[in-house]
Amino acid sequence: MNSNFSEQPRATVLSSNPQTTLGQAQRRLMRDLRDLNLNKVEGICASPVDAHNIYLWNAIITGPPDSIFEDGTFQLTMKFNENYPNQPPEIRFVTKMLHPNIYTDGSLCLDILQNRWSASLDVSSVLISIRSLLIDPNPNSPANSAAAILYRDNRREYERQVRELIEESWREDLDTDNDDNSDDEEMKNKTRATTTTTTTNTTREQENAE
Amino acid sequence: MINSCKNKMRIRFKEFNGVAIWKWIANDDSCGICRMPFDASCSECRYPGNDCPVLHGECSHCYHEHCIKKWINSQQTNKLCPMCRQEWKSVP
Repeated sequence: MNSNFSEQPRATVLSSNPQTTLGQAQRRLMRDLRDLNLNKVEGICASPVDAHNIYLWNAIITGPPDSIFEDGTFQLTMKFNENYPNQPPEIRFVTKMLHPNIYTDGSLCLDILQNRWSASLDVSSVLISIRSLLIDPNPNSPANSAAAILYRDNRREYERQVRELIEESWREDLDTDNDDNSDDEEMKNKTRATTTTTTTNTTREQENAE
Repeated sequence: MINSCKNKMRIRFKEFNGVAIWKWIANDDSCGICRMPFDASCSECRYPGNDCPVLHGECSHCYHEHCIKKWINSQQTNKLCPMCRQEWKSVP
């Protein structure tokens, strides 16, 4: 639906659907989604949590190669409001992180998400920035002072703890996978990011068919 | 040859349909804020054209007038171009 919709000239779409009154934020988010699907960016993936609410997205960032984050997949939620893109989204890591600029509750201290936000940024550029923040922390504005001190004074221990967290997140993923197999309903309630809801449904249908 | 013919072919116009195309002059295809093409309207307008004009900044960046005004009005302190973060001044 999204791709067809945005490829048609707007006037046509609106005149055939006079009832459609999508706000600027919704339109922009649909364009962001389309851009993400058209220009795949390595290491990031994001989509709305469900088809009825385009303001809430799940995102996944994979750790940049050749870094301590390399083997991790990190899940985030992005909350937009109707003033997007004039206001930044609220972004939070769901995966437990140890990073000088990530608060223990998962929210981020990143200038472009606060006072240096710009209306020309989009979902993909924001996620690319967050991904590069992983390997390039700014110890001068710490959000997690313990992590910042560790990063500054005992890099080896910092790296060890980061790896430990990543390994822990694998175990949690395994646990969730097992739960999913035992209970389909539970899977639906989980907030685990999936690429799109439709893909999961298709895979499930295929599994059922087999 | 044709000129020397006595019976020249005559054409009589019964109807004439002029067709014109228009395009905004901008340094980009689409607005950096709403991402809609300049030749379409901003995401708040129904129809492209004079009602949804394109504004040029002194920094050379262009936006739909509605989009850039909304962005500038939403900024409390600095009124900056979303692309280059220079102070936004529109070219009249």
